[in-house]
Amino acid sequence: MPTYGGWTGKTLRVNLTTRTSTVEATLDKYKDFWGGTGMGYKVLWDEAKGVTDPFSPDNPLIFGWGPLTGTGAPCGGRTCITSLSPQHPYAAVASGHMGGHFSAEAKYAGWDGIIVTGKASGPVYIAIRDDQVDIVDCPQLWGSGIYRATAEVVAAMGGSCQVAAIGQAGENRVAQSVIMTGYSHSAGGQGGVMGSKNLKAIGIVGTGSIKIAASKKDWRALVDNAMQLVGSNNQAVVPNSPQPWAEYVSSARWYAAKGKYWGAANPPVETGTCDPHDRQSVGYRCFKSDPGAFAEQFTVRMDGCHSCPVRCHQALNVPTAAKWGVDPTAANTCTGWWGRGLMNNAKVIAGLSTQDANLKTLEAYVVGKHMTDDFGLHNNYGTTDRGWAFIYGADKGVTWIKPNVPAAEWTTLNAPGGLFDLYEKGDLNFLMAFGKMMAYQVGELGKFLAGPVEAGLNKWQTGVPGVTTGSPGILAAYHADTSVLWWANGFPKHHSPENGGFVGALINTGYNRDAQNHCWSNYLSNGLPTAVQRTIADAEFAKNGYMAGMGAAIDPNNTCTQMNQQKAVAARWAIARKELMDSTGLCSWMWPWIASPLKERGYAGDIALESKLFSAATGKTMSTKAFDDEGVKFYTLQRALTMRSFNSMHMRVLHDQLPPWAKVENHAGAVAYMGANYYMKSADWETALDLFYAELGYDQATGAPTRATLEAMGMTDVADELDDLGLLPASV
Amino acid sequence: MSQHPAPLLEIGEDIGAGSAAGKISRRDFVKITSITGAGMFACTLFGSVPFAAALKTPILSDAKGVLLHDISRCVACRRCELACSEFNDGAASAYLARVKVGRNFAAMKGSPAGKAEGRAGDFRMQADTCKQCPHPVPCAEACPKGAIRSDSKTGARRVDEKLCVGCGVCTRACPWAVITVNPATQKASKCYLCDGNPECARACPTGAMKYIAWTDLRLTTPPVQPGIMADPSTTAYCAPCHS
Repeated sequence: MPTYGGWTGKTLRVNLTTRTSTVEATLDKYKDFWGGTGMGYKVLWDEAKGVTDPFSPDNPLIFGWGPLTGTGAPCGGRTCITSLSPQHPYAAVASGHMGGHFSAEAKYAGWDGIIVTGKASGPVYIAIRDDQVDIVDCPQLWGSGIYRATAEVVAAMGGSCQVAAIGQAGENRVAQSVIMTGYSHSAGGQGGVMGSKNLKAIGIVGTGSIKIAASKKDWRALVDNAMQLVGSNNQAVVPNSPQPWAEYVSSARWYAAKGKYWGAANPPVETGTCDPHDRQSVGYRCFKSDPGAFAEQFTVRMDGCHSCPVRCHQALNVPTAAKWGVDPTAANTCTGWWGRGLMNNAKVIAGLSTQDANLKTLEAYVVGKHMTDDFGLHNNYGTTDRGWAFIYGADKGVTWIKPNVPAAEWTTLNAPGGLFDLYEKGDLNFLMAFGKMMAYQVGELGKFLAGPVEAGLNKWQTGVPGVTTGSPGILAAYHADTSVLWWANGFPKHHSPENGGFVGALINTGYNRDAQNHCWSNYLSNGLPTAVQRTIADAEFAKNGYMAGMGAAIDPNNTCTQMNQQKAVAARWAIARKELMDSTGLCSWMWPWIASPLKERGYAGDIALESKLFSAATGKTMSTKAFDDEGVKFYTLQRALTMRSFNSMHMRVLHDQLPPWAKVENHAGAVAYMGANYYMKSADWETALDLFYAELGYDQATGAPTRATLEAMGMTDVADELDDLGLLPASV
Repeated sequence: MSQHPAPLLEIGEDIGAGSAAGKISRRDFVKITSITGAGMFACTLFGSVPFAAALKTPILSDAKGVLLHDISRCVACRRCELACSEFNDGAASAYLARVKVGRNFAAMKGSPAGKAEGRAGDFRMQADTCKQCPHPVPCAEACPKGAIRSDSKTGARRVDEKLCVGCGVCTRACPWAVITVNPATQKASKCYLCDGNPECARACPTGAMKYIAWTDLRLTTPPVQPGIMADPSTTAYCAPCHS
């Protein structure tokens, strides 16, 4: 076995049932799957046969990262947590991703991954100090939120400790729960799995190092190159406002400007013009203020993950938020602020002056963040807050909630000071009441919000015999509603047809939860004119061995044109890269970098950069095409796992379908492919699947990988097992 | 003036790349001797005659530069730690890094979370850096091998790896705990200002880490560990001035 850089060479396995830990040689056991999700899929394939209950002790929970984690490869702070998912109707495989510094600390402690199996007899946390692994009883932490659990583990292990923990939601096996590190970085969906194992937290202190295979000089040059090509959040390469150096202006996430300050820094810090050649201003570029411009004056600084120069978390200090009983400091990004979305802002600010309204809205961000992050709740990419808005509706829950909860619960919800009353009054105490109801699964409403979406909808469709009457029609109404982000198979969309038409839809179809794949949507939203994007795509892909004319794969956001070969190639590439990011440790919210902010390069980035970083760090030299093929292999194992959970090979019919709202036939008067919408014709979706399966080497009729494809990927064992289970398509 | 038990200054060139023995410069020596009675004694006694053996160098002239970290601008990405360890040691490591950020995340400097500095506190992130201390230089004074000298180019307090035995005394002597011993090499890993182009400052994406002309920054950051442990022979050397 050659000696590689990047990997530590050791994977930790903890059996909570026996309270033992063992060491596995990473590159003996997982050499074909690298780490992160790849390693997670491999563990599940080998060890979760026949497991259908995600809360079973037999459902392994894999904390994974990769060979680039903890190194200077920029934007490498991800932790991917993989298991059979409580959020999925068939408990199919899924991963939750969190940023922060947990995975880097784990690498420094000497671990390429942590596999947790079994179930402890009582609440425990795992304390890892380099090679020393202790399973520590912690009954005193059970029932506490993530904040206290994190602080207590840090108190026990020291200030350099990084912690991943669950809150009450995870303890209570809430499907919509998270595992969180660093008080704001959350991996959605796996909190309940951790709770089912009686595992409250993992604390890690690492004092080791990660060897870089390349020479110091070569590695420095490569990292420098990456730092020259990096953009802003989501690899935006065009600023949001006119800048003296900028040729273009866009709505992309590059917000820094002269006169824009981190207003709560002491002294205030001006973000400035951020010329892309100025390496010392990269960290100012993003300044993404999710609560709006009003929040800028409350910004202490921007925050983010290990090794990432682009800081997408906004760190706020809103002193008046303390009156709601929470810490006035809070940091998060994007849907991490989702708690505020539970409330109707018109009700929140009713009767207030503009200044007071702005302030109370901002306080709602802080309170909502603390509520969700301390209880450890997941919004499932919009499902919880938008789903709540759907069921509560304009009629205050009469249509969808009242028929599905016992009369006494309905009375309590509507009582003075009850949940609905707080909501109607715009009282921010609503947020804590809502979170508690969800985290403890209080009543039928709490169970509905906490559980898997499809299970809740199915239950409410017919009601509980003798208790509730049910709401016939809720399934169809929910599935047809674009506001709830519902995607076929019971998970929410995450950059689907609105970002790339067929490419976005194919990417979103690939998984058992929201795809968490930004490889393509980032490029479409980077701020460059479409013509420039197409020119760059033509050159970058051809240069790296892909077909000519890849610019033809690009549809501007919110549009969709007819399917073509290039779009199938782009979807395969994006899915491969997502898996590669997750298995090497890079961030799919930033990588890959098809474009850069550099005008002198024609704004070209370098899609070979990840394979170059991988090769240099590990010493395992790999071309870009070969690198991408590895990603397809990881994805294909995920596909095989999905088929095993579905107990069917018929992915085309059972898994890969569009939601009704994506089909043009369901929008009266709408015309497809004319630039006015992103809808597609149902028949063309079938064509898209044909082309996509062909690119992947999957069977056209079923959408399942063929034996030949699996064997070419080195997964003969997977083919054999699928064959034994009757899940392998017949050879043509 | 009492007489020192042994000559403690080696006269010659500064340590640095290409210098084997580890010496301090004539200029530094003159500068030192001009301001210390001990130096006057040594100058008078030994003139410019070089000493053959590697000896203690407890009195070092001020460095030319120092790292200044701006707590208001730090975004806690830790690219400084990475640049320091990867480009100096060929390995990524917060432990080896001569600048320390990660250990200050959790607001464990004696205050509950939410009240102190740090990622878990008020968000203000402090990087611990070497102050390139003026005389008395705690790490140099503590080193039993006299292995921490003044770098010829920058005046940084630099470990002469040929002399260092990895005992770790310097790691405990440093009030800011910014020195570690590399387990792989058994040599102390200490900031030497990267020959005047500090990798950490170059890597900082917000300019929070700056390389500035030397100034005494010891009072800007509270020490993280108390005490100076001078080597006994050094203590004896210092006695004439500090008794």
